[in-house]
Amino acid sequence: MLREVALPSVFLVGLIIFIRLAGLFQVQEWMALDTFSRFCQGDRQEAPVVIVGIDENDLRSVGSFPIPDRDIAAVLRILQAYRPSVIGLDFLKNSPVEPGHAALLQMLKDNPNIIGGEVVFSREPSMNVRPLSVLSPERVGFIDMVVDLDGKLRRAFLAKVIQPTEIKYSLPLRLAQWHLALQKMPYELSLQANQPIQFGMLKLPYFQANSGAYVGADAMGHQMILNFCSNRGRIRTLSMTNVLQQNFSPEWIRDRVVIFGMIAASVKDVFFTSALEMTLASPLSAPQQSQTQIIYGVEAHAYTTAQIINAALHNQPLIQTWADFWEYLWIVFWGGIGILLSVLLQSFWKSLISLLVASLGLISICYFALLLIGLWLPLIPAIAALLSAGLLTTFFDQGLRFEVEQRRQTIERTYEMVHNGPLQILAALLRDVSSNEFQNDSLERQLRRLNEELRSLFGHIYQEVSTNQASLYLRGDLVIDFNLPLSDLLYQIYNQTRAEELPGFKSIRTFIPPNFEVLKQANYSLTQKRGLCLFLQEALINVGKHAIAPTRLDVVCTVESGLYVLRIIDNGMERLDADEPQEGQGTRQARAIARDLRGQFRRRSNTPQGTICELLWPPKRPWLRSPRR
Amino acid sequence: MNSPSSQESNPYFLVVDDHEAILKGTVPALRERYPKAKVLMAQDRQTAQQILNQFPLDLVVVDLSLPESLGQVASPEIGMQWLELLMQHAVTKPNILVVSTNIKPLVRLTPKINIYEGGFVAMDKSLPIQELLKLADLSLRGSIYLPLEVRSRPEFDRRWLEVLTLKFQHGLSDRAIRERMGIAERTLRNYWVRIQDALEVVDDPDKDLRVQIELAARAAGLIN
Repeated sequence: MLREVALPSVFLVGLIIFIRLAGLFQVQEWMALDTFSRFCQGDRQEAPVVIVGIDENDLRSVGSFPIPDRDIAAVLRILQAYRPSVIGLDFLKNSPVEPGHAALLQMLKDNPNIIGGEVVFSREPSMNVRPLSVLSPERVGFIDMVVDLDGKLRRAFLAKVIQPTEIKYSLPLRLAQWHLALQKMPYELSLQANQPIQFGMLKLPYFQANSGAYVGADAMGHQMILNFCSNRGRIRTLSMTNVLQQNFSPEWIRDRVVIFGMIAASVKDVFFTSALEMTLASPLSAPQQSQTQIIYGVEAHAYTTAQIINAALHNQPLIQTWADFWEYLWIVFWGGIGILLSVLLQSFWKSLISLLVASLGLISICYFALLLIGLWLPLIPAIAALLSAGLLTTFFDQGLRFEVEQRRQTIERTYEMVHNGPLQILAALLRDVSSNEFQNDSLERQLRRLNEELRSLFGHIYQEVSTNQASLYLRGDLVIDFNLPLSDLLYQIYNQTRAEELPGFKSIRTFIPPNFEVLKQANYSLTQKRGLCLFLQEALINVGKHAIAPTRLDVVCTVESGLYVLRIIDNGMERLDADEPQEGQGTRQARAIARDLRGQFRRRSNTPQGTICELLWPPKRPWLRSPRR
Repeated sequence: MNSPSSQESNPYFLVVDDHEAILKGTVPALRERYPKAKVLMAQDRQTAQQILNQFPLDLVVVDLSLPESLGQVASPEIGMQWLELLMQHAVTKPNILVVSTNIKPLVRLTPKINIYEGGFVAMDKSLPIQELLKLADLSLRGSIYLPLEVRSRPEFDRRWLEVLTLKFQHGLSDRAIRERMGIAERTLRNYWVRIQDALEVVDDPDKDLRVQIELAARAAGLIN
C-alpha cells in the first residue's frame, strides 16, 4: 500500500529535481533570497565605509560636467585632513579636466592611500578605461560588475587572473585589503587562479557556476554572493558640498574607508536590486514602486567593501552555499517529509494542516540559516517537493482508502440485507418448527419466500453498488428511496415492518404511532438517514421476535431536553433466546448509528414489563457538518 | 349511520377527478344520496383550488392522479401535494374521501391523517359506487378509514390516548379537554368517533357510549 501511494510522489520529487537542474527554479530562488534579505534584521553596527557622493545639487553648483580636477583635488584634500584609512575613486579618470589637473596629480602622488578605478572586462575592449598613469597598478581596482540573468545585482566581482602573471582586483577588494592591512590583517597577493582570497582566518567564498540556486552562471574570476542581510546599518553618505563646507563630524571619516563616486541619477552608473528596502536612489523613485530598487554603483561597492571588512573583523556571515549533492539531498528530504506526513496522518485535513505547518517550519529554517550563518538553502524546490509530494500522496491515499471503505461497506450492506431479510424469515421458521406450531402450507409459503428473497439479493446488491444509489432493501421487491424526507421514510419503515408476520406482532392490540414531524426539517446525510431507518426497523423486528405476547407497541419520536429521541416501547415479556447472541448485528448497527449521530443507544426494561429501546441524539448544528463517509 | 350527519343545512361537496366518466358516475350518485348538498366538480388541481377558496366545503372526493391544469398530464404527485396543502391550510378542514386506483402513496401522509381535524377515508377506485357512498358517510362522520395497503395495522393515536386519560383518569369535561389540548370542538368530536372506531365500540341506543368506550379502553389497557 505504501508503495502504491508514495510512488507517484517519488516520481514528482524527481521531476522537481530535474526542473531545478534545468535552471527553471533560478528566478524564484533568487527572489526568495532577495525577499529574505529585505526582511531580515541583521545587526546594525556602523559600517566601516563612508560614501562621498556627487549628487545633482553638486553638479548644479559646480556648473559643469565632468567635474573639474580642481574640485576633486579640493575634496580629496579635505578628506585626507581627517585621516581616513583609504579613499577609493569610483569614477573613471584618465584625461585631464582643467582647471586643476596638476593639483590633482600632485594630490594623488602625495597620498598613497588613494585608490583609483578602472574598467577592464568590457565585452568590447575599446570600452575599457585605463586609470591615470600616476597610479601604480596596486593602487588601481576595477569597477566592473556582474549581474544575474534577471538583471539584478547579487554578486560582487572581486578578482580575475588576466595573464599568467597578472591578476586584477576590484576596487572594493583593494579598499578592504588596504583597510585590513592597517588592522594587521594583511592579504598576500596570489597569482593562483583558484586560490581562495584570505584575510587572516577568513576565506572569501568562491562562487561557482552552480553555487546555490545558480545554474550555469558566468562564474569568471573570483566572485562572491552579496549578503545584504548582514549589514543593515545604512552606509553614511556625504555630498560633495557637505565635504567642501566641512559639514560633518571628524569621526565619520577617521580610520574609515571613503568611497568617492557619483550618486546623481543623470550619470548612468546604476544597477537593480530587490534585496534592499532602501537605497540612495529610493527617494528619487516613485513611492509605490515594486520591490525592485535602483542602486548606484558606488553604493554597491560600499556594501561589498563593508561586507568583506566586517566578515574579517567581526565574523559577520558571508553567503555560503552547500555543494549540489547536499542541496538535492535536502530537497529529497523535504519531499520525504511530505510523503511521510500524508501516509502517517491518514486524514486529508490533518495532512493538509501538517503540510502547512511543515512549510512554515521549512521557511523559518531557511530564514534563520540565512540570518544567523549566511547559509542560503534551496527553499523553493524544497517547499515544492514537500507540498506536491504531500498532497499527491494524500490524494492517492484518500483514493485507496475510499476503495477499501467502499469494499467494507459493500460487505456490511450485504450482511445487513441477509440479516434483515432471509435471516429473519429463517428465525421465525425455526421458532415455529421448534414449538411444533407450523402447518405445512405455512412452512412451504415461508420457504418460498426465503427462496425469492435470497435470489433477489444479488440483483439488489449489484444495483446498489454499481449505481451508488441510496436505498434500503426491506423485503423482496420493497425498496425505500432515501431521497424522501426522513419523517416519511421512517413512517414507511414503521408501517411496513409491523405488517411482518412475526409472533410478537400478532398479539398487539394497540399500535400507538409515532409522529415523525419533529424530524421533518432535520437535514441528514444519506448514511445517517439509512442508519436511523435501520435502527427503527431493527427495534421493531426485535419486538416482533423477542417480546412474548405484547399488547401494545408505542413508538415515540420527540424532542426531550434538547435531544431527539426515537423510542420503541413494548409491554411483552422478554423472550430469552439462544438463536441470537446479545451483542448481535442489530445492536452493532444501533451503536454505529448512535456514534455517527454523536448520540446514545440504550435498551432497558419497561415497567411493569416489556422493553424500551431508544436512540437519543443531539440536533445537528448547521455549521457542524458531520463528515460524509 | 344511514343518514348524512353534516350539520350544514346546505353542505357543499367537491368531486375532483380528471376522468369525465367517473364524474358522471359519482356526482349523480352523491346528489341522489344527499339531496340537500351542492355537488361541485373539478377536473384539475387549479380548478379544485379555486373552488376550495370560494366555498366552505364539507366533503372533498378526490382522485390522487390529477393534472395541474386542464389538458396536462395527470400525476399522483400533484394530487398528493394538493391533499397535503388542503389538510394544512384549508380553513374549513373538509372531510376527505380519496378515491384512486393507487392509494399506496398515502402511506406517507398517515401521521398527518391521524391528527387531521376532519374525517379521512381512502378507497380503491375499482370498488362499486355503493361502497363509495358508504365511505362518504364514514368520512362525513369524522372517521378515519384507510385500507390495509395504506395502513398495515389499526393505530391508536397518542392524541386520542390523551383524550382518554383526561376524560377517564382526570374526569375532565369535553370543554376542559378542548382547552387543555387546544383543539376545536369538531376535532374533539371526531377524536371520540375515532376512539370509538379503534376500540370497535358499536353504537347501541340502550348503552351509554362514553361508558362503553371507557370499559373498552380499560380492557385494552389504554387507561388504568
